[in-house]
Amino acid sequence: MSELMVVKNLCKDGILKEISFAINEGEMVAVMGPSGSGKSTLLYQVSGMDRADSGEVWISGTEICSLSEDDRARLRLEWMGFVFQQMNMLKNLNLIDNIMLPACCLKKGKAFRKEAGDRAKALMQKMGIERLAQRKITEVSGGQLQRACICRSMINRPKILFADEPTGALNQSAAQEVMEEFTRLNQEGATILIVTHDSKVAARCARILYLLDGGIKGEFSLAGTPQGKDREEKVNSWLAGMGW
Amino acid sequence: MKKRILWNDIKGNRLLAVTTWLFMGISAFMFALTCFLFVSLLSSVDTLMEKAQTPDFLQMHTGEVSEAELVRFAEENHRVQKYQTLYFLNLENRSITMNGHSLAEGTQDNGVCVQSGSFDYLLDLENEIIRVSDGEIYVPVCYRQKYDLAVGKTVQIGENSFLIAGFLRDSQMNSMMASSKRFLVSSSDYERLKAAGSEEYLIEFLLQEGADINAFATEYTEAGLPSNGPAITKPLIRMMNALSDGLMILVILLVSVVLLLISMLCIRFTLLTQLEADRKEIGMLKAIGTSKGDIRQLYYLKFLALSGLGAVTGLLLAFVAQRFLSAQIQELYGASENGLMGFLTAFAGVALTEGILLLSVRRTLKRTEKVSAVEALTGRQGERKSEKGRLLSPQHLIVVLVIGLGIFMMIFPQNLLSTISSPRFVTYMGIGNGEIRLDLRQTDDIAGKTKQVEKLLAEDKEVERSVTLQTASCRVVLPDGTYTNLQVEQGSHTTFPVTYAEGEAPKEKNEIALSYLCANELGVSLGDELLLSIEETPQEYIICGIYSDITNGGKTAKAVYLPGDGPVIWSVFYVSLREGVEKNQWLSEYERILSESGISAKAVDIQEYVADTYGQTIREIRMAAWVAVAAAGLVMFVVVVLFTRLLVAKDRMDISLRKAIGFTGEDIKRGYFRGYLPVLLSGILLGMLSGNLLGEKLAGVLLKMLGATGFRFLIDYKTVGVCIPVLAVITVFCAILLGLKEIKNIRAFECCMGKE
Repeated sequence: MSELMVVKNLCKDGILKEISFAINEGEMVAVMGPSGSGKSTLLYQVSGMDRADSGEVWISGTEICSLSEDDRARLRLEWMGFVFQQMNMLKNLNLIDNIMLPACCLKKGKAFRKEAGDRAKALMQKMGIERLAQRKITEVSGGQLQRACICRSMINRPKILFADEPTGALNQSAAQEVMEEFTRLNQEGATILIVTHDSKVAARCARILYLLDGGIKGEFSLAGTPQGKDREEKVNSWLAGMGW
Repeated sequence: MKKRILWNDIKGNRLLAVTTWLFMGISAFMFALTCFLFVSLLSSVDTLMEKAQTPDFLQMHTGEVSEAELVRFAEENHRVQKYQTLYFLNLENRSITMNGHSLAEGTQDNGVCVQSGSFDYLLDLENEIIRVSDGEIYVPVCYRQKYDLAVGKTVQIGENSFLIAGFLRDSQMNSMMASSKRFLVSSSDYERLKAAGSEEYLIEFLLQEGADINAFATEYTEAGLPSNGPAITKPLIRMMNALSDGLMILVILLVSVVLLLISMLCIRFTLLTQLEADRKEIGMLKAIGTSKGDIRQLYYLKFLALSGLGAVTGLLLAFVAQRFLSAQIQELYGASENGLMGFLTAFAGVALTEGILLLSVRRTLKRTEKVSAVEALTGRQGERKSEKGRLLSPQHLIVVLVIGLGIFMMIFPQNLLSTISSPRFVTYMGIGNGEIRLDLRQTDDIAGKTKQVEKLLAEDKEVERSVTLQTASCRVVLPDGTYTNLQVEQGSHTTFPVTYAEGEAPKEKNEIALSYLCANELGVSLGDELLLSIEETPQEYIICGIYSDITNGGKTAKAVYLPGDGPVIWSVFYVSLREGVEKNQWLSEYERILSESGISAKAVDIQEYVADTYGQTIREIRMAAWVAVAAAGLVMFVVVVLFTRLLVAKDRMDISLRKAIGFTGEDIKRGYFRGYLPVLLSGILLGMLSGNLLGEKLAGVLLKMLGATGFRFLIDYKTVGVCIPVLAVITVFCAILLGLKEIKNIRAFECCMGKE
């Protein structure tokens, strides 16, 4: 498997200190750590939302830290998908329009819009929310909204998906549903980096990076371990060892 | 997609959308109205002057006229296209009665004439050349409403009765600012009336296309042709025609500019508020990679749509409103033949207005670039400046500016109104500040009759002070050795002075004051020397003052002493009466005495002269001033209501928390009122200062364009200092009360539930 993302000596405001790691294509990686350890900051730097003080972030052979803000925005639109804890969506659009938004920003034209619409419908169908397409964002549940956010993140067929505490604002059953969707996407080949402090979420990933005081304190691979209770227990005991 | 975002945004923020549309619509309306009226006025005046074939140069004269000399001059002068001498029979105002109304107290010179033969035609209301029959009369259109006249009613001139056959437009004397009015009768009726008045000549020249009128005027004077009355040129006639209605249009233009500024501020304010509320959404859009341009466009589209809607609404409303407001213009000068031009100009005005507003929106939208995706998503403030410790937040500052501009909008036209209505205003127009003015003109033996009137005034115990000013024609030697003629008013200019834009009235023998137009034409300024001569006796003068003058063609001078004994062209007497003397009684008594002495002098009450001359302008400015007060009040009200509602929405959690810890709704409201106090006071102060100081400068610039310089506001302190601030306070108070209504709907437990 080839490396999709390589991070080298990344530093930011003293929060991140010389962080280096790599993510392979099709891999689902979790970043864990206590509050203030720099998890979200790391996600913002590696996705190009923010510019690191020093270090390099390579995605598909492109170093993104040296790009201009506009170029990084374009790269985010084309190569990356995002799912946030707060399920931020435009209140002036219904669910399907919100999902189609990144596609409409990427390319203009009627034909492309139709294609994006079809893709959005297909994604919604996969996530089981196709009947909510015309609903306002205030008219659906948190779980449904987060699934719509996942659809939005996938609309431009990104190389990598970033998720920042995707289940943080959801109840347990909704969180489980959402994580099942992430797992399915990963099984279909999506590369995913999830920031979380939920061990159940982390247990669904192939690898866990543990962040503490701005550095990677430990790394835990779950490759070969089947999904289920056993996997969760392994993660919990490893986390306990890390001082979680 | 964009359409849906736009439509849903408008539906979701109806109040903001309606307010934005209102401001965009009002701005478009005001500018379109100004354009419509401006084009209508200029086009109507030009159409009238073109159809009537207004002379380029007109010399009034009384006394002998050698027709042969004038014909020879006209034939030999290469600038002359056509020449004619018209007769104007000046009548005693008290001999004219229209529809039962006597003109005895009118300050205009009224007289009759016959239709011109080759140019300077008197036109009917269809702007066609009038053909009048015996026994019929055509009345100046400006008298139609004033005296409630209609076709078929009668005009009595002495013993003769005439039937009103219609109303006439006189391209020269239509405006009330022109001091004479011509009635049109048939040739035989004119002959019949001849004994009832004194005949004057209007020596008129139509010049070749592009001919230099000033050079022609000099050639005319140098030729020694008849010139004992004022000489008037076509540009001055056009200015007089445009002046009265032009002032109203200038006021509307100024109000439009202020409204545009207010609209810009308000739209910026609402947009900033929306951007603040949408900070997270903008951050999210940035995070998913939406470009800056796309984000800006999402907002811009809404303003573009509202601006389009505002432009159409404003244009349509202006189209309707101009029909009412231009009624006066159409009555006086006829329908504008340039309707399409008016519409195109209005369209351009609206496009410019909306362009400026959209440009301001684009500038404000640049703020979205400063929103960082990370800061917006994490709720971190980043580099945003803290508002704590500031006396006024940027939002408060906008309200201060809106209140200030609103008060400016109320004060400026009021000050202009009180200034023009004031008896002292005439001193800006070249008329002394006396109570009564007597004019002795266009009669024989003016010097002898002047002495007679002087003696009468000196012996009159009811007269407190009087001064005689005699005008003679002098030659001014120009720096290049050539010379030009100048009418110089000789006498004491300190007793009833005019207002001097620069310097002061002449006091010494070698001092001279020039009118603004005259100084401009001669290319001289204060302190310069001027060589003057009457009958070859040259004398050096120092220019001691410059004043504005719209009388006698606007090019006049004032001196204490003149060299030589030149003929007096006319004399003017300014009189002030002792306390307790009844002015009207004194005036009619004097007219009787002068008439018995065989002196044909016109005596006018200067206050009445102001009312007559500027009445129409004053009425229009009064209307514009009160419309401005209402519009400014409405704008202030809307902005403060909106601002307060947004403030309450922003403070919702704080208000809920206060309620939770035991504050009552009234306590919270009091807090807001206290917060508004510095805003209101600063706004009022700003408005008062700008309205009185900046407004004076602005009015000065506007009036200078019309020939009046050295303008100072004559302020009505009761209206401007008390009524308007009180009105502003009441408006803002009511608006705050309405804006704070939402407080009662905020519940104490909301703060415990969180914002999301």
